[in-house]
Amino acid sequence: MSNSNDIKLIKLIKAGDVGSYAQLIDKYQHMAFTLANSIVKNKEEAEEVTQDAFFKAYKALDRFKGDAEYSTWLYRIVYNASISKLRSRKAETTSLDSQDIDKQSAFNFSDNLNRLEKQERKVFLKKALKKLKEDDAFVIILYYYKEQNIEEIAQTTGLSKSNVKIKLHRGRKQLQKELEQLLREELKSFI
Amino acid sequence: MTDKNKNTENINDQIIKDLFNDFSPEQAPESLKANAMDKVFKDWTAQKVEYKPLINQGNRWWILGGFAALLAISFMVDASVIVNYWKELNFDSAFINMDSVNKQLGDIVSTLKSLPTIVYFTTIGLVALLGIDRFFNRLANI
Repeated sequence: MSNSNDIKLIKLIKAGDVGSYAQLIDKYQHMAFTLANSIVKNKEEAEEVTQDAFFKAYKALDRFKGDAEYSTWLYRIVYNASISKLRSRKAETTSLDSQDIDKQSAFNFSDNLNRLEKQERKVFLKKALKKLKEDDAFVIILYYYKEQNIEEIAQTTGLSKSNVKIKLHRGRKQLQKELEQLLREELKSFI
Repeated sequence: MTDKNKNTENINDQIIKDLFNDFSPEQAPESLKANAMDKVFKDWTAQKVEYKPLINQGNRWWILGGFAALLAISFMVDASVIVNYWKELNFDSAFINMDSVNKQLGDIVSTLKSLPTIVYFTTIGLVALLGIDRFFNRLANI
């Protein structure tokens, strides 16, 4: 069920108090922007996509019945808008070659991560997320940060459960490799 | 998937989970909210506000016709005819004690007279405000 405060705000907006929509934007803008940026990987475009998503959500508010969380519904619009944006331009894909993967397997990922300061880890994670393919970062953020389960992610993205699982598995692996790569570079800079 | 692979995946899963404990969403640009609300308000103001008349088109003609018929009858019939008819019915003695009604009406009038003037002014003021509010509402919907 949807958050009662969100429901109250939605009722006010539907009744004509359009200004109340600003409160919903306030509440969800950062997460929506982060999710959009995780797909389009460009701040200007992410801002544009998030704005459009909020506007589309406002226009479709009459269709929102409150069966699911408002955030789930909004993030689905963000997801679709981001994917459309991505498809409208040539996607830049980052692929890891197999040689790198083999070399990195001996690298002690966990130990090196623990050596980092909290702030550094935060930066590393953001950098690594940016390098993930298409919507893998979106799925990873929903799973690890929003702590949504496979079914909820499938509902948010409109993907099938098996597709979510594949993206999660692929995203997790790639995230680890990207983090390892970043850690290696960091270590090299010290030597 | 072998047990070793599964175990490695579980460890990595835990590492990523721990890493996400420090994660926080990026700050959306200041302009995002303003621009989104700008779009919303533009759309809202572009929408036509439809005025729904209290009396619909069909009923309007019936009401006007009925009113015109009543007006025509009132011109045709002499008021004295109605008064005489009323007297012939002799209502006051048969069904209603007119003296008691008159007395009660007199009591109401004396009660109203004893009310302070401010009550009258406040009532008139409130009615006037409601009337003005209704008038401007109608005006806004034209």
